[in-house]
Amino acid sequence: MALLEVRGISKRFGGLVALHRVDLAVESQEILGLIGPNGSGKTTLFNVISGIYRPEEGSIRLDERDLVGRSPSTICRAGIGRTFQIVRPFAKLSVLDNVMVAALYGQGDGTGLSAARGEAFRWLTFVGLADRASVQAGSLTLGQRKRLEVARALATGPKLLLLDEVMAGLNPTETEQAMLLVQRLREQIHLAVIMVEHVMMAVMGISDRVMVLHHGEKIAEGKPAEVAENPMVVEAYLGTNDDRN
Amino acid sequence: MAVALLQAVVTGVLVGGIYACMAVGLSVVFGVMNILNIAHAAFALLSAYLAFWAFKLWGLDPILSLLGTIPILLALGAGTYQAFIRPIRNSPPLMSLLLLFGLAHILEGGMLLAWSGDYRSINTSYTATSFALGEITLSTTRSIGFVASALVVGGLSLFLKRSYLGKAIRATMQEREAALLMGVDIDHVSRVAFLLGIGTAAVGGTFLGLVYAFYPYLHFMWIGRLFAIVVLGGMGSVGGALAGSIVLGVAESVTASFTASVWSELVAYAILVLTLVVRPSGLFGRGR
Amino acid sequence: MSQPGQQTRGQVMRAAVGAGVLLVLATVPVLTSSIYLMHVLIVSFMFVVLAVSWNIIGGMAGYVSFGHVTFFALGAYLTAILYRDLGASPFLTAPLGGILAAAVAFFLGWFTLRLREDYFAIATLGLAFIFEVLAWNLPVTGGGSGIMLTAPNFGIHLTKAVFYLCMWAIMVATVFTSWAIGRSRFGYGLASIREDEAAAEVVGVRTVRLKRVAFVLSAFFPGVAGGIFSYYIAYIEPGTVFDHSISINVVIMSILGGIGTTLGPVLGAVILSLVSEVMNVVVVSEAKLVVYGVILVSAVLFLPQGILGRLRGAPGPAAVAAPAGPSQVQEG
Repeated sequence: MALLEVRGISKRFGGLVALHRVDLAVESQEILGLIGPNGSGKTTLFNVISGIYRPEEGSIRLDERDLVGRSPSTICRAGIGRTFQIVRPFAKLSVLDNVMVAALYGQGDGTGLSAARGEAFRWLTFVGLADRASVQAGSLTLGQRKRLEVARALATGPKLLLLDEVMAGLNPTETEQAMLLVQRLREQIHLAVIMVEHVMMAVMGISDRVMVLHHGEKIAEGKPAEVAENPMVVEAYLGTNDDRN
Repeated sequence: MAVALLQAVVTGVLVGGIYACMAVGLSVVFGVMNILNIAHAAFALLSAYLAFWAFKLWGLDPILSLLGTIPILLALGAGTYQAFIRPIRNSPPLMSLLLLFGLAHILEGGMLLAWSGDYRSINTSYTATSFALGEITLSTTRSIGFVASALVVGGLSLFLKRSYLGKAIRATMQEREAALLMGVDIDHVSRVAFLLGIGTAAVGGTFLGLVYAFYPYLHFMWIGRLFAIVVLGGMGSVGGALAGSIVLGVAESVTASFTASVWSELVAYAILVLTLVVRPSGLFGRGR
Repeated sequence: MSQPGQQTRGQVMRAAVGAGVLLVLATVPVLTSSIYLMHVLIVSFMFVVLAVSWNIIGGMAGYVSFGHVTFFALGAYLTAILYRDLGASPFLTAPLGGILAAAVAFFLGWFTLRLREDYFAIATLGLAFIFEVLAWNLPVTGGGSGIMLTAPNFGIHLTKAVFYLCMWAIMVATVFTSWAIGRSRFGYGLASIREDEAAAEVVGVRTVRLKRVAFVLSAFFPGVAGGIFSYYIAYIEPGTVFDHSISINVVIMSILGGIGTTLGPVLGAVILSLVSEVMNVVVVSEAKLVVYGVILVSAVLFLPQGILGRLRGAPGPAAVAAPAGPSQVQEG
């Protein structure tokens, strides 16, 4: 039984079909790369899994627990953390307070302030932001905000982390650091991760498996090398003039 | 009984028509700028006061005084947009709401200071008259207001459909991002939309002033109805504002006819709150 | 780098000073015989209660209510009705006024807190109007004639002092509650809702539940204050009690002082009460609306973080009031 089992998920917006019968499975401590041209439904899938959208059909099970129709906060407490494609820090709160909110609420209602503070510092140290703890989140650079978003998600104690384009907009050095961070997630924290990425080098380099979405449907899945050579995948990218490679 | 009902409906449609003019303006402003202009009715009330004084001092018929009232209000609106709305147009909608709430109080206070809290009504030669259509009585003032409103709404619709600026406005209302990408000057479009709103308030206000007695605090009652209408019809939907106006006008009128008239005041607020709770996007709206 | 678990000296100092001021205020009836001064302070205390409790939902959670006067009115009417029909003393029934207001807030909040913030504001305004119309027309409220109470008479000074201490006590309770929230887990949750509700949900904050609690708390204290108020002025009717300038005033007070903190609305309430008193003397009462409107507009344009925000250096502090932890937030 996989950690996360997603079966037959469909999502429509009015007449637009964003996702059509998508299946996905992630084992614990696995890194799954989720790729596809722009508009293929990757973020929508994340939104469905994390409870922001409700799918019209399909099932989502985490550790055999049914999550469809649950609120985002319930899903978070069940063990799924996520970051956003366009980062959403609590801008006027300090970096530390940002992570503290997650530490206080992400695992249920029993966390006290000092325990949460300790947790928050732990995760800030993990992502390398401990020295900016008292700084206002809104004044961080983009790279720092992305790390903050990861720390915040980690503080909720997830079993599975959804990373939505963590590397977008980063310079080569920052991208390297991000890749290392993702690997440490698996090695040190033993998390399962689903990464949406356009930076091919990163995704192909880190992922255990890769899944490809196109127009809301899964068109390929397998080891990175296999997927890279799949003609359908190549065509999906070339055919839509996506030159993010 | 049936006649009484029909009478109530007809009266309701007439009054609803007058609301429609202002509601459509409010809806356009929301659609373009994503702000709820809670000062909209205060501007309308100002128009009523101007019409009152023009009539009282110079005997000018309110319909004629519109020629002066509209430019005055448009100028005021332009100044308001420039000084208050434009600086915060990228702030969250809540900020604009707060600011406009403050502005509404400034306007109300100003009217109170200038002209006292006395009830005013515009008593032209045709104010208390009516005419008959079969068994139904139509009040002259309401009918004139209805026609004027209809002209404004019709003109606005035409403008939105045919003119370049109108199309730009509609595009912005439907898909702000896309409009931006296509080179629409959002600031200019916002300004025009805001001024259109003020214009509709000017017309609607004068005619409401013809039909009902007014005093400075009244704008809060009017804005309650206008919000009820645009929420019911759907924010940003001109057709919805029209439909909502008629529905509200009729609901109020029928309630007033068959129960004590005080309860008809509740109708607007009840519709407002119920719609927000049950279906915030309204009948035709674009949603939240 | 700050150490976890340490309250900064600044916060301890501020809390101590605040408590000291409150204690001193309690001794005013003993120190002075000025009825006028006590009256001014009673009204100021009442506004502090209103502003600080409004701030719990409006400032901390970011859900601005334009109809907060409703809760005040509910408390006032409940104690007046119980006095009229049962002879019950408002000193005893005022807490019931708070409970009624809280219950109404719970019920209304169930439906309206799902809305986006500006729609919520409009909904609260609509609800305030509905309650006002009901007050004018339902027999139980006495309609336009209102309800008369006979104020207690322990002698002029003593009576004033009793009301003074009552309002003082309610104020202390309100301020303390707000201060406690600001330093609590609950306060962090509210701040996250205000900043970005969707992001808050995704990190596990049960936003709907927290908003509901905040709304209920924000209604309770005005309900109690209203309950005492009806006894204080001895006559209530819809016009006085549903005074919509109360709604705009509490909004101004919080924004002016600095939303989100406890000190902010207190500061705003004090300033606005002073302004109001000065205006009573200097200016025609009709001009008050204009002045309030100007203050609100100016606050939105120039001081969106409030005076406190400016003092701490724009764009303002970590908006959770005095969290037990790092508080001074500098630009990175």
